[in-house]
Amino acid sequence: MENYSYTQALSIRKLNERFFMVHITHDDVRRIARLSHIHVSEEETPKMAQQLQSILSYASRVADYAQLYSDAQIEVKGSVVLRPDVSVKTDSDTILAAAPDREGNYFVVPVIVEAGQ
Amino acid sequence: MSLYSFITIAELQKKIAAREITPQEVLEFYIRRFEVFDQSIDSALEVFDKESIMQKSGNSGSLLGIPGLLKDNICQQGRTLTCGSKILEHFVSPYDATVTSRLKAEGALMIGRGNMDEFAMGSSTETSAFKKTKNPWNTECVPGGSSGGSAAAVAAGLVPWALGSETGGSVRHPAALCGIVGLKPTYGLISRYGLVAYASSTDQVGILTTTVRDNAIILSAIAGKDEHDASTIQQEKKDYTALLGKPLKSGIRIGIVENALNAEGVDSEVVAAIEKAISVIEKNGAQITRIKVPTLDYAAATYFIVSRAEAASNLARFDGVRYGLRNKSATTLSDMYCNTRHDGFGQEVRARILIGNYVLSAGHAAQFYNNAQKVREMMKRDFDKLFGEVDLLIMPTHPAPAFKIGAFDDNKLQMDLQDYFTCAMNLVGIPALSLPCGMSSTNLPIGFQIVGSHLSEELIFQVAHTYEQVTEWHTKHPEGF
Repeated sequence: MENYSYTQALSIRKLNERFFMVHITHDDVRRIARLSHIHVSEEETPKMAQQLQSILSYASRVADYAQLYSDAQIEVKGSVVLRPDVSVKTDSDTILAAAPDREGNYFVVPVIVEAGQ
Repeated sequence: MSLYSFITIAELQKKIAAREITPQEVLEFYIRRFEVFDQSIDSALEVFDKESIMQKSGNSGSLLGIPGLLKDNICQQGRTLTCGSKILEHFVSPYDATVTSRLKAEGALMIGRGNMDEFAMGSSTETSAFKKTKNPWNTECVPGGSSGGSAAAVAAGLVPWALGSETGGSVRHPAALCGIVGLKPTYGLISRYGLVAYASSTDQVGILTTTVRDNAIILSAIAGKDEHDASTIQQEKKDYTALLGKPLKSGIRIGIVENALNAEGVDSEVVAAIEKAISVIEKNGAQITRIKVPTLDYAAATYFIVSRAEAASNLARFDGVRYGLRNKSATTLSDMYCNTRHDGFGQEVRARILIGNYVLSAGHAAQFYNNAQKVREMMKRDFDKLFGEVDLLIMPTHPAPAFKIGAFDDNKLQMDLQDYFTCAMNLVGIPALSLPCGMSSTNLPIGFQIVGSHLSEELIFQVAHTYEQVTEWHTKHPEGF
């Protein structure tokens, strides 16, 4: 397993720190905000871009370390744990009590699709 | 009042059993302490009324009459649950978390809700939408985070125990900054049912107390397999105090993580205090070796990616549809989602969700998320190998004593790096305990961590207890409480 040394890992990181910086543009923020379903105002965008750039630039060093290992050597194994396949009922009033807007046993929300679409 | 102010759970259990004081009197005492002292530290979001506290708890058990505070991301049936966020400001939990019901079954009294960083995202309790908790040792300083309310309350003697939650260090970090004991258990040892999810592959309930024995007492009450949480380990209930006070096994091997202790930015007083602790532990029978753990240097970067990715997924449920805040002026569903989440989430939560979706998105996932998963796997193997060579590790919990409120307002990276020494254990799933080992020249606590392999809580407690009993840090309390 050990085909790297501490010094080797450190030197790769120092090298990449000088050359590798993640750039986050205002367009990146708008695109990711849309994906996240979170509104970010024009006033908030520059600060958000700066924070994302700072954290992601730091985090990008995982690439340095991961490259020390070839794909063949790393297998990320997951395991599946299942619960019994039994339906569990909860009283709907308890759940609907927290609803911002309800009608009978329905959660009421704004229009999803306009008529004619 | 002062006889009970910083009393331990162990001592309180004896006094209640001997009928020197009733559970009702104990509760009245601690509710009064919150009334008198919490205005200076703002540890609790809410302290409940005496009647409902007594009514909701069991009448017998090992923790009969012992009150504690629950971080406000742990469900208590019929109580408000905010996670420190406006998006859940008026949400009432319809059920008890497993940890809550197990504590109630032992007669423990749930006294209130502990303040926290919003959705556990932060290291200072400053991102709470409602109030900023202060460190009882210096109220201009932060208590650490994200379980800062719970830690501050225990440190100020307002409760003998509190629960927090760990995702990257959020129990150990405030424990160290507040001078108390904080446990992050093995992943899967304590049920996450009823703990609001942040990063599901690392989240764990953690325990905050003033002594190691008290910590083991609470763990004994809440640990163990839970049918409601498929990620819990097949582990029956046990008594985690069993080894306390017994002599350490001869030649117990403890590795000092050099690249952590000597990392850039660690305060020299922190290093000095930990070196003293190491020599005390060595004098008490441990065999000390100095080691390097290279993957540790990449833990924070890996943690940033994995935790934010999982958070982006877990926080997608807060959309204004079924519960919580809803932006009522939106006319389309999409606007409702976007505006609700803008209005309901603070800046830090929104930033972390965006980062999480960025590292998972097409064109970036390979560079960030997939690589982070690989490094995480490498880290697990490194620690597995390490625990073949040593029994436990010692390293810093935090880089420096508690910082001033607002110190990192303009430097989010530096704030996030408060997790630097703690997050590896969350990624790997191994247990770690932070306990006090000194005071800085500015009269702020210094802590250190003892880290063990999977399910080694008893050994960690035993070594920590041995250290605690030959030192006096656990008897020191902030003035004015």
